[in-house]
Amino acid sequence: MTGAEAAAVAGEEAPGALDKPVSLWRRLRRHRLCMTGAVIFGCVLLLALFADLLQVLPPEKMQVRLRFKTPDFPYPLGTDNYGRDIWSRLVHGARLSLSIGFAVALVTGITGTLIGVAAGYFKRLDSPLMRSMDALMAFPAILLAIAIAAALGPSASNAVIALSVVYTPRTARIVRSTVLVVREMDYVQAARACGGVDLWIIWRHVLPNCMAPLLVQLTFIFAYAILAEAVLSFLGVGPPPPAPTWGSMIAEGKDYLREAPHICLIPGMAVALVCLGINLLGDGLRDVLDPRLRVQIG
Amino acid sequence: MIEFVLRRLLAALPVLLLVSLISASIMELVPGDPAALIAGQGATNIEIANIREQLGLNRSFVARLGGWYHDLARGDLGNSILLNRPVTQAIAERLPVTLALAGFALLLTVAVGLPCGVVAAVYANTWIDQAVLTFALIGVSVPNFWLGLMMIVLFGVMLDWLPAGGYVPFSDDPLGWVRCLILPGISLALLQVGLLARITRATMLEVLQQDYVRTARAKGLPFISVVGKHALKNVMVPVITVIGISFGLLLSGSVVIETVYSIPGMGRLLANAVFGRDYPLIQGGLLLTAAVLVLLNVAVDVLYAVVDPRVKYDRR
Amino acid sequence: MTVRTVLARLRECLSLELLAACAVSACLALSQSAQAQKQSATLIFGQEAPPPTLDPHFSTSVSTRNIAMHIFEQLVTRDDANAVIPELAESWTISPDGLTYTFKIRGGLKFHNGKTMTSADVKASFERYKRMAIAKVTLAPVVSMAAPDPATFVIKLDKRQPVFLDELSAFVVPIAIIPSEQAEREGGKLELIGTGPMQFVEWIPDSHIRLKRFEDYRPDTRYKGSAGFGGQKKVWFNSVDFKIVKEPGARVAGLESGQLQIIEDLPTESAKRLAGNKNIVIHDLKNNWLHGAWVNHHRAPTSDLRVRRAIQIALDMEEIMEISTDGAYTLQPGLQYPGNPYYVKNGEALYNAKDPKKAMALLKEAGYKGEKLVIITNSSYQSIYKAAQVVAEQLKAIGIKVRVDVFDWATALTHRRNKEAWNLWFTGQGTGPAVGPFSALKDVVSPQLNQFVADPTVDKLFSELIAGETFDTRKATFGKFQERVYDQVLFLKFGDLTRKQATRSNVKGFAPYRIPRLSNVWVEG
Repeated sequence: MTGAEAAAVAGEEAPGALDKPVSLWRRLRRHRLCMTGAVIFGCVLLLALFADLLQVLPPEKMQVRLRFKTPDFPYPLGTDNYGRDIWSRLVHGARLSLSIGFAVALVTGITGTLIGVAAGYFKRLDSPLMRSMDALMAFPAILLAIAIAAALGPSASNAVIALSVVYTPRTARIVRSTVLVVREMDYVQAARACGGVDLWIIWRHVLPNCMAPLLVQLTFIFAYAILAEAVLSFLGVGPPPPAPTWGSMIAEGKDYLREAPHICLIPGMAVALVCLGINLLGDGLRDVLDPRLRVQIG
Repeated sequence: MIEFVLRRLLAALPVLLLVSLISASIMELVPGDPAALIAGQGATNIEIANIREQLGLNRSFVARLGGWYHDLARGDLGNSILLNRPVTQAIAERLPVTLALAGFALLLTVAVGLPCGVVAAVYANTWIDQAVLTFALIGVSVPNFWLGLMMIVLFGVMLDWLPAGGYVPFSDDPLGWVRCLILPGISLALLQVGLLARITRATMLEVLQQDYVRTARAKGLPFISVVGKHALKNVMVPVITVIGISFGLLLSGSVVIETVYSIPGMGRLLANAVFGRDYPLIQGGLLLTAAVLVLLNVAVDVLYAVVDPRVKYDRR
Repeated sequence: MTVRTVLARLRECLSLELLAACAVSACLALSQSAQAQKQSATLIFGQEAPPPTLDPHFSTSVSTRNIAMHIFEQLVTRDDANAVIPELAESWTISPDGLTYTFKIRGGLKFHNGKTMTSADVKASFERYKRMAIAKVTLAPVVSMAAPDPATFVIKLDKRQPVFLDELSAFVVPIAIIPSEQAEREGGKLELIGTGPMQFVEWIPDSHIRLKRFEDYRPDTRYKGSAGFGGQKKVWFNSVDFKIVKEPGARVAGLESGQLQIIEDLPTESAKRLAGNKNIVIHDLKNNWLHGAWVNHHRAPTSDLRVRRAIQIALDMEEIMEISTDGAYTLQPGLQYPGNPYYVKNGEALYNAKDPKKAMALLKEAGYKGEKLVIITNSSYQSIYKAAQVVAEQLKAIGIKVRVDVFDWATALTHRRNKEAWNLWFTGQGTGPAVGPFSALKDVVSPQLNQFVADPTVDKLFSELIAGETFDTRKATFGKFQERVYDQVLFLKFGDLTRKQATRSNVKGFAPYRIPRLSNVWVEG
């Protein structure tokens, strides 16, 4: 048993299928923290969707005479060292950060499931696949992402690839551990004994059982990816300018911490807030989807 | 048990081989080489080729990798290109720094995360629980490098309570050493605190549901002593887990935190090696990191068995 | 001055060691107790970047020179006004045909390992430089070198080269003198033993490089104090730590709290804030960097002169420099800094024209069809990174489709040599323009050709420049050269960056210089 699997035992992940959407929704609504998260996330999502309407100026527009303005009319969050409106950059940055986070979660979900199911279901593939995943996980995550991003060149899609490579092994492990359990269940064994086609069995019986832990894991990866993208941009290997990513906004503000702290402060708070929202949402999802944690103590 | 440990270590060999293959291949794909860096922007192709030759970079990828494995088999990790010293020496100089930082962060993690998790579980579904959970979530949500920058400005510059960066070895100045580690330690521990608090809470909740705990409570034993006597023993499992996964997270986190705080540790060594294309240092550093990680995982599994007799490995 | 007279003077000074030391500060009346006060344990210098190597023959990096130039010395170097001066050389003569240079070497000087430095070491150092140094082309015209006696070093050239001494003394890649036993070492594998006033102690990567005072150093009493890298140098500290502090904010914080006594590259915004701080003295280093971009003449759309001209005249240099340097800049068209002997203003009309209308007309005339203009910049140098962003916005405003590629420095350097990869490659030139017009210009001349397409006129002008017999003819040729650079848009010059160095106010004797000099600096109180 490895650390991560122990974490599973300790209640981080457990196999389980999705319940009916209606009762799920009802239970989620009763979860106060989850709803808080949903509201935060929803607000940021709206900002991202309507960035074009909400912007005061185009996010790249530089005004050399209006540098370092503190928050005030008409620039609600002030301007940065290029004289660009921080509010406009923030809402466009929300679009970029959420897209990258979502794309990483999606790609990771697909590749992680493919690898995890293959490794868990087909005994012969288990060792080579999981040893490769172990090797990827033996790298310090950020360093691996930096190297991949540097190898592929700077762009938003390459950042997604780099981060997906980093997070796929973690997802694959969780899917695999679920599959290992499901595989031994009577009805799956029965289906196999009856000569069922493997792919059909996986589709019909195995995959649905992996959905709950996968979904929970992916919300957390969503949040991690937003954080990690900020780190990559901070280190200068994220999407290239003039893309207003939150990480590059923090990086640009770090040289003016004493003189114009708002440049750095605001995007950092935005990252923290949106990650908090997603994590709250993920926590709620897990509480609701994971029966073992639905405990009530006086 | 011994057989289990040996088998695990043996299984680690192909993983380490893969690690070195992956890192070498990725770095081969990364454009730019140390020769270009040394030569600078005014250099001509001929000058750069000349430096490449002196650095032994003009050999093919396979030849270089083969040479590296050959040296590795004799226990030689080669020489760093940019630091002008053996890779082993470069790492030996840095590892203690990162271990100190990681140890300090871990100490903070356990000191804060564990009580938080226990309290949250004991007062589950009350406002205390929610406050702890929210705090833990903020811990995993705040970008730690950003928090580091903010703390430098606040405590390092404006209030001038703690050094704004840098590192003093323990042997030079024990007090200065602690002062140097406080801010980066907090920045680094934040994520771990959140993780540990959550895992502890979950474990405690499960334990408190167990029959023997209920019985103890039904017998009228004071709640505190029930928690202390029966439940706390069980939370050793999450603590060990967090320590186990921490090392990887800490190394990853230290890449950024060490840069922000100008601390000469492993994370920064490796990040600079990547940016400087110091191939031997990257190869050696990542291999050692991976090896330590594997060893730590084995150690964690052994610890599980020590703490919890129910865990047995020989069946697998 | 002959070797003998210098030796005699040195002996004089040694007998009066106290006096010799006092002469450094040009203050002969200092008492012995004041002496003791000036002497202090350590100095900590906050350095911006780690050196890629400390082998002075093997790096063009400023970070290397910051440290190495305290350890090593040159035969001839430059003074503060960039004139050629002797350092380890006592004197020199040039034969009437201009082919033989005979140097007299100062006697009785010791390496840090205790060995006495002779012309054999000088010869070995030059040979190593000619064999493997990055700028070995400097010694390409040398056909033979000889050390007929310990105090004489002779160089023979294959053809007349009036600017040979300028090249020898330039310190982009200084010809540092090393012990002859070290001369076989490969690049970067040098043991750090020189004749300089400080000797190497340790290098802890990413933390610090420590030097200590070289007790057997014999100051060059021909000078009153520092003269460029040469002059009379006296080290008042037992040891000096060059602490690597990459983050500008951390550097400033270290200076404010007194953990660092001297720092380089103080951010302009911090300088504004610290202006009233009594504990800190800020030194302006004007003309520290020349900001600009190389222009690719091979790849469309900049293969068309009209497009290049449109870009050139559209740019607003004030905006570019204001944002990229936070106000620490001066605007002037020259490829040399004002005050340099070779400074000329040719090409002025095309500099900072700020004429987007005319630029758009030119683009239309060129039939620009929206080909992507690729800008390469890097994340390692903030001012270069920012300049690229501003230029990109200005070019978008005249209708050019722009893509900005940001790489780390190593990748950017690699792509620089790929003629299909970019149109504008953003750079800053520090030392090159400072030491004279030659190293700055060879970038557009064959075989270097940063623009990838050879310009015969430029090549011809460059050989004329090198061969020019008198300073006036050379300066006139350089004027034509600069004019050609503007006319063909071989390089886009933005402006000159003013860098700031700062010290705690109890640090005395610090004179700002391109490369910080820590000799003749002491801490009071």
